[in-house]
Amino acid sequence: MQHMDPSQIQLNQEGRLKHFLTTEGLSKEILTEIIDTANSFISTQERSVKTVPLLRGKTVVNLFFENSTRTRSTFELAAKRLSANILNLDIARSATSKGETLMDTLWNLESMYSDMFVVRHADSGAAHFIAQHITPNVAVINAGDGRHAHPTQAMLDMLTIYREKGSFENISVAIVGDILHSRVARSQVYALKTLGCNDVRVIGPNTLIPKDIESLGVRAFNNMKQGLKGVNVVIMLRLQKERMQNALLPSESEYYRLYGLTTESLAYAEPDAIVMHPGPINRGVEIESAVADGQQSVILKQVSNGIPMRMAVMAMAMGGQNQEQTLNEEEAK
Amino acid sequence: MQLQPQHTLHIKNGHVIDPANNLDGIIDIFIENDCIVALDKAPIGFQAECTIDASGKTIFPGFIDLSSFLAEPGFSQRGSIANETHAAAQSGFTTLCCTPNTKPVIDSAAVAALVQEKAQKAGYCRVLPLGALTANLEGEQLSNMSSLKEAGCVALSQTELPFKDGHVIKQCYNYAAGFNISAWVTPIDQALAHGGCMHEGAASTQMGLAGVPVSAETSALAQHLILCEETGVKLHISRISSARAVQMILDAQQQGLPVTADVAIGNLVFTDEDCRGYNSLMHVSPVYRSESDRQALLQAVNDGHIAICSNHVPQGHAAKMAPFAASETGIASLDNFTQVLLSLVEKGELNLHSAVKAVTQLPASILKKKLGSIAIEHKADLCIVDLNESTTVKVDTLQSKGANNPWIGQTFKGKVTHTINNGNIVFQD
Repeated sequence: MQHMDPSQIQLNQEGRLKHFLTTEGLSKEILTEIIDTANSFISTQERSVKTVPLLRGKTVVNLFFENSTRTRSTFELAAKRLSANILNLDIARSATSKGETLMDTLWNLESMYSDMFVVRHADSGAAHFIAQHITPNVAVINAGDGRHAHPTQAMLDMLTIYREKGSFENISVAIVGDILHSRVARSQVYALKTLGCNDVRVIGPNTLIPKDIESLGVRAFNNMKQGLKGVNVVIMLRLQKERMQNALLPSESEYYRLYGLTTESLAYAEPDAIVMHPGPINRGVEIESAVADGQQSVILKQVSNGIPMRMAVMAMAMGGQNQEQTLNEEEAK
Repeated sequence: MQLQPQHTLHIKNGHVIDPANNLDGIIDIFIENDCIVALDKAPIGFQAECTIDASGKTIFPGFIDLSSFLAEPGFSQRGSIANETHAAAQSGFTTLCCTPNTKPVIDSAAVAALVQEKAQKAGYCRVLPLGALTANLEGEQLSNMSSLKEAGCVALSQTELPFKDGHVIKQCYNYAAGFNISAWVTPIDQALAHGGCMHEGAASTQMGLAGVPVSAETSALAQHLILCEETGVKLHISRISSARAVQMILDAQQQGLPVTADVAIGNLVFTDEDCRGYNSLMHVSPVYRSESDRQALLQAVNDGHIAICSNHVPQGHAAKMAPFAASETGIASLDNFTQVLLSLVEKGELNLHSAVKAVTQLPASILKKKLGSIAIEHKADLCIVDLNESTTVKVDTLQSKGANNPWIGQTFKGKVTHTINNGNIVFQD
């Protein structure tokens, strides 16, 4: 068994993206190219005819081992706007627990000659595992694996920050809430650091901040006001209700009092700071309605940016796979 | 498995290294039946039916493994006593302690007898079963400790499985102490481990995998040590993983507690950094911890404080073909144990004498057996090694049924050429 780093396995021999599994280890050039490509798709989304033919004739399979109607729908729409055929497979956990292993599921799906798998799975490393064992020339896009990564969400957030702030250098970004369980936060941190942001902070109680978080190059704060001081971007994370169990948090009310983003706490950030949230938001749990709907909120822009970002990574990964296939065929001759 | 049946054997010109007897030099060994009858000079009238020329080679006492899972009964798809003991013999082991977590569990004299019969029939290694400390290893009721001892169980182990509560631990230790039975545990507080699958640290945080904090080991260990102190049971801490645990055990020994410990070979080689890339072969229990933990474990071996075990856990191919946390735990380590151990010596991380002591003299003293020693009237258990020959690990030379060998394709210096168990040549290459 060969065990390659996720960041290496996602590039072809020319250094082009062929899977999109994590933002970790990708170069600034590739991340910038992803943002630029997505940015260029935004204009196509404003036209009356929204489809482009980049994935014409290709079959994309949405392979969701965890339910997520929202993420799945945006991938579906993105694939359709790239003119691909799309198959949605919601594989409930019960189906795979009937003795069929993840590998069996994959081998079954491979025999349907798909070109791309969009994978959501509860285990960290699942998308990487699939990319490692999949047949050649099939692209794998990670739509969220355990607590590890949610790179398309992170990159649509980068697109949003880029469009609002123009650059990543000289800005301060705070990510607030359940860092421990958040795949979004990890992917955001890697992307922000690579794109040149030198001040990334995470804010939350110690029970929601994983050990050695500083190894990601961030600063951790327990105090919301101190953490928000002078930041240009505030990213709120969704707080799952089940976090009230397992001795992670005392109560929703205490959490909101300490870490809820309110008009008052937002005042500690820069006056033109933007407020982001990957959705769906819990009003009154992690964010005050007045802030979520306020002038500084770009939450709905994030949703709009989701489609062009997913179009961009799907188009780029397919391009990388096609290039690899061509190069390998030439080499075989 | 006796390759060449003989009654007398002469091993000549070999460099004998035996920490138990402070031997380090060229010494001829003379064997009659199952025992060493003379060293250096042949006894009067000795006629060798077979002679091994060990010129340029090194001879160690046969190795003793304190923890291997032999998969029988109950898990024949993962391994067999014949295969796993063959793998062990290939690595110079002459004695193995097998863990009781079989199906059925080794909690009855019948299962203990079955395991020993199968091992005897295979003939590669002396297998000393570890009986279950609690009935069915469920951690609630005492096992039939005395019967298990009579049936040949060398000690009683709860493996890493939890006890229902501290009272059960105390009662087990109390009862065992009365019959002079050693209790073996691998301390893991399941609540603190909280479903984690690797060491809690920077790597687990970055990979988004749930971590097992060091406190899962040390907090359980503290309880075991305190109950050892209170009951006087002979306690063996199997497979420790952290620097803090090493310190706690040394402190307990200094206070005079009857506590011993071992570390799995994998924990001397790998760290949590090796889990990167979601390498499911690195999904093990106890987990591979930080580099500083590994260094402390190496130091404890070099200082002669702890033994080394294989923690051999064979798994089928499918068991590791899954995302990290969903894969089964363990590595198959018996086939290449000696090569890996010698590679630590080669790298200067272990000194040769301490490494050998940790698999011969120390485990023998933990087991209170007259083994692991090259001396007259002792069992003729020997391992002959060519320290200079290099070999590459290939799948087709592996004897274990386990597909989870992490060293395939790697080249090692040092090769076992003969293993002699009870006076019989059970392996030669």
